[in-house]
Amino acid sequence: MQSEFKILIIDDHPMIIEAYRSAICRVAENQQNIKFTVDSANDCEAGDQKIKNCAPNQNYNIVFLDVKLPPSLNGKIVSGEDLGLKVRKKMPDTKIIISTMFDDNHRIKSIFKNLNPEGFLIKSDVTTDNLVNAITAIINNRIYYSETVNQLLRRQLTTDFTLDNIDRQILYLISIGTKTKDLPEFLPLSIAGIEKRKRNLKVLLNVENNSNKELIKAAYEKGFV
Amino acid sequence: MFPRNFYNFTYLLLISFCLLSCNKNKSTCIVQQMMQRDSDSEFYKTPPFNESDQNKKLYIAYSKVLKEKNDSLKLYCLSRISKESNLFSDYSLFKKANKLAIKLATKSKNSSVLANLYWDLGNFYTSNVPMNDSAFYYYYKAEKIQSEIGQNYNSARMLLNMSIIQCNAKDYTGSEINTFKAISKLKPLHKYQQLFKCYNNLGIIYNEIGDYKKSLEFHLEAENNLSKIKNSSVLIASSLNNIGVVLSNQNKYKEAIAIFAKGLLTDQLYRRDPQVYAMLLDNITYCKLKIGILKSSLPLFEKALQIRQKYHYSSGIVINKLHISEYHAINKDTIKALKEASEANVIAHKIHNNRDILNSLLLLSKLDKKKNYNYAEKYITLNDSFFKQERITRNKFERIRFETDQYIKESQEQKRQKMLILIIGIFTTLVGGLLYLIKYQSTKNKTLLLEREQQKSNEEIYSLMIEQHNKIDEGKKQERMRISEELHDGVLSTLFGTRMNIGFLNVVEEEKNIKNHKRFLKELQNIEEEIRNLSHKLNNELLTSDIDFINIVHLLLETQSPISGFDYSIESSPNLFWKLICNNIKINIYRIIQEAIQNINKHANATQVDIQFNLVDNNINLMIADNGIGFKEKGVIHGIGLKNIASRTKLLDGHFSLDTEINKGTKLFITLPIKINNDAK
Repeated sequence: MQSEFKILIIDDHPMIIEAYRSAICRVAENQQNIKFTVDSANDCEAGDQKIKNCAPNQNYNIVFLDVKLPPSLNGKIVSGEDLGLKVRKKMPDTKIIISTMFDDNHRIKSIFKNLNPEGFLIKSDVTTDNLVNAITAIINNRIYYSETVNQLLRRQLTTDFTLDNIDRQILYLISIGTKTKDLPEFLPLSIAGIEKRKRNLKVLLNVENNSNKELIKAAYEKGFV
Repeated sequence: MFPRNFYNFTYLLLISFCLLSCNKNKSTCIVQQMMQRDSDSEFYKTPPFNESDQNKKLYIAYSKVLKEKNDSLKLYCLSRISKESNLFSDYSLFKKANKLAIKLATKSKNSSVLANLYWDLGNFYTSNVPMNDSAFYYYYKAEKIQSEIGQNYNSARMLLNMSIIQCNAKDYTGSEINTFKAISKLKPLHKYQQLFKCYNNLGIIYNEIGDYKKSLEFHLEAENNLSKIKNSSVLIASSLNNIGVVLSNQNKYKEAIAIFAKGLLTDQLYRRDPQVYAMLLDNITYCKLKIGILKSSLPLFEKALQIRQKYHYSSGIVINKLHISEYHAINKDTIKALKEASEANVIAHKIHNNRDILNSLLLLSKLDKKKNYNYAEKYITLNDSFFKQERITRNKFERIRFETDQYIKESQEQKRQKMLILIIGIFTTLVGGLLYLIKYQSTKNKTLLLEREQQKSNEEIYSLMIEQHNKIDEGKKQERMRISEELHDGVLSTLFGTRMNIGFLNVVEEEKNIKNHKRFLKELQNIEEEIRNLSHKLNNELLTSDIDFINIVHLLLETQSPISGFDYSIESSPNLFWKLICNNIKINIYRIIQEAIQNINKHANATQVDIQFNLVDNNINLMIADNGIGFKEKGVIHGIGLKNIASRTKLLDGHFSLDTEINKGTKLFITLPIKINNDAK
C-alpha cells in the first residue's frame, strides 16, 4: 500500500535542505511503501508562496520549519513562527517540525505556545539517526522532541514554583542586557512594579546578591531563561 | 592698705571739721574792710591747735595719699591737704599738694574741686602781696568754673575777692564792676554777711575817689545788711570805723568822734578783735587831735600802737606812727616828729604800702624844711611811678581777663579742629576699610566661582571619561555581537548541514570506516557546540562587564603596571556604591591614584601595589600600599606628586597622611567625606 507524503522544507541553508532530503530518502528506504514528495523554500517569501499555492486537497503533510529565516518582502512574515501560524491556519492537519539553532528556553516555550509543533529539533543535538527517527515518528503520528527540549520540559516540571509571563519576560529582557530602567518600555509596569517583581524573583530563586548577574544565572539554572 | 587709708582719711576729716569754724576762704577772713589795710593780714586761728603738730600730721597724710590708687579719693584728700596747708601757711607742702591735685582734677574733669583748688591758689598768692595779679588770675579762673557749673555763691565770693584786690590796686572802676556783679548774685541768696562786705568795699572805693556822700550811703547799706545777721557786733564796729573815717575825711570831726566812740563801746572788743579796737582808738584820738583836744592823746596813741605792734599789724603801725608824728609836730617837737615820720616811711617801704609811703614823705617834707626839696622830689617821682604801676596793674587785670577768655576761645577752636581731623581720619579709615572689604569679597567671589567651574569641569571630565569607556565598550559589544551572529547563523548552520550530509553518506564495507565515520561525525558535532558556546559567550552582555568606577581604575592600573612591572590588586568594599557618589570626587580619586602610581613607577621599585576602598562613617577611605623602597621623613610631604595629592584632598575637605619606612614600603591614606551624586536615582 502506498501512501503519499508531501513534505515542505523551509530553511535558508541549502546544505540543510539537502540533509533533510537525504534523511527523507533514508526513511523512504526503510519504509518501502511510502512515496515522498519534497518541496523546499529558502525564505519566508518563497515559503509563503508555496503554502499559498497549495490546492486544498493537496496540502502538505509535513512542514519542516527553520525559525531563523529572511523575512518576507512585505515585512509581515519575519520568522518561521509566523509561517508556522499560516500553515496552521491554512492546513490545520499538517504536522510541523520545528528545526532551529535557538536553544534558549524562552524561545522554545514561546514557539510551543504559538505553534504546538509535533516535532521540535534543536540542531545542536540532532544527528542523522535522530533526524531519521524524528521523521519516522511523525509520519506514524507520533511526536518527537529533541533532547534539549526534553531536558527543558523536565526542568520545568520539577520546579515547585511557576513564574508568570511577565516574570519570564523580565528575566529574559535582563538577560539580553536591557537595563532595568528601560524595562517599562517593554512591559506594562512601572519601575516600582518591576522592582517588586525582581525582588520576588530573587527570593524565589534564592539569590542574595543584589546584582542582576546572579539573578540571571540562577534563573538560567532553573530553566527560566 | 585700705584701713590705713581710711584712718588717714577720717583723720583729715576730723581736722577739717575742727577748722570749719574758721571761714573757708582765707581772703574773706581778712578783716580787710578797714581804711588801713593790713598787708600781712592775720586771721583767726582757733587757739587750741598746736601748729607744728598739725603740720607734721599733714605731712604724714600727704605722703600716704601719694600712694593712694583710687583717684577720686586721692583727689579729695589732696584738695583737703591743699586747703589745710594753705591755712597753716605751709607753703611748700601747699604748692606740691595743689599742683598734684590740679593735675588730677583736670584729668578727671572734676570742675568743682578744680575751682576750689584755684581758690586756694588765689588765697596763697594773696598772702604774698606783690603777686596780686596771680591771685587775681586764679580767682578769675575759679570764678569762671564756678559760674559755669552754677555755684553762684562761690562765684560771687570770688568776684568779691577780685574786687578787693582791684580796689587795693586802685583799679576802682574794675573793682566797682565786680562788686556789683557779686551783689547781684548774693542778693537772691540772702547772704547778708557777704553783702555787707560788698557794700563795705563800695564804701571804701567811693571814699578813695572822694565821693564821700556816696561812700556814706554804701556804708549805711552795709550796716543794714549786718543788722540782719546775729553776732555781728565786731563787724558793726569795723563798719562804724569806716563810717567814722569817711566823716573825718569830710572834716566832720565831731560826728566822727561820736561814731568812733559808739564803736569802742562794743562789748569785749579789745579781746575779740584787737585790730579793730586799735583802729578805733587811733582814729578817735586823731580826730580829737584835729579838733584840738590834745590831752591824753599820746598815751592813747601809744596804747593803740602797742596793740598793733603786739599783733604785727604793720600798716596800722605806719598810720599810728604818722599820727604820733603829727601830734609831735603840733607840740613843736620836730625831732620826735621826724623820727616817727621816718620810721613810718621805712616801715611803709618795707610793706610796699604806696599810699603810706607818699603820706609819710608828705609829712616829712612838711616837717623837715631843710630837706623839703628832696622829699618833695621823691614824692613826685614816687607818685608818678605809683601811677604808672597802678595803670599797668589795671591793664594787667583787664589783660588777664582778656587773655583767659582768648585762651579759652583758642583752646575751643583747637578742640574743634582736632575733632574735625579725627572725624576725617576715622572716615577715611572707614572708607579704606570698606574698599578693602569690597575687594576682599570680590576676590573671594571670584575664587568661589572659579572653584565651582573647576568642579563642573571635573564632573564633565569624569563623565566624558565614562562616556569614552562606554563608547569603547559599545563598539566592542557590537563587534562581538556581529561576530556572534555570524558564527551562529552562518558558520554553525553550514557546519550542521555538512555534518548531516556526511552522516547520510553511505559508508559501508569496512568496519573501520564506519567507526571512523561515526567518530568524525561526533567531532563535527563537538565543533558545532564549541562554536555555539563561543557565540553565546560573545553575546552574553550581562555576564561580563558593567562599566563603573572600579573598572576604570582597573583599566588605569592595567596600563600602568607594565611600566615598572608590578602586580596589583583593587578591592572595594561591597557597601560602596560608586554609582551614587558624586563625579567630582571620583575624578579626584582617579587623579590621586594616577599621581600615586606615577610616584611608584618613578621611585618605588615596587613589585606589588594594593589599592583598597572602604566606606567608614560616611567617609571613603582610600589606601594605596606598595612594597617598594620607601623614603625618609615620614609625615613631611615633598615632591609635586604628593603635594598635589595633599591639595586635592584638602579641596575635598578630606585628610591625607602617609606611612613610610626605608625598604619597607609606603602606604598612602586618604579619607574623603561622601557627597551624594545629584543625579543618581
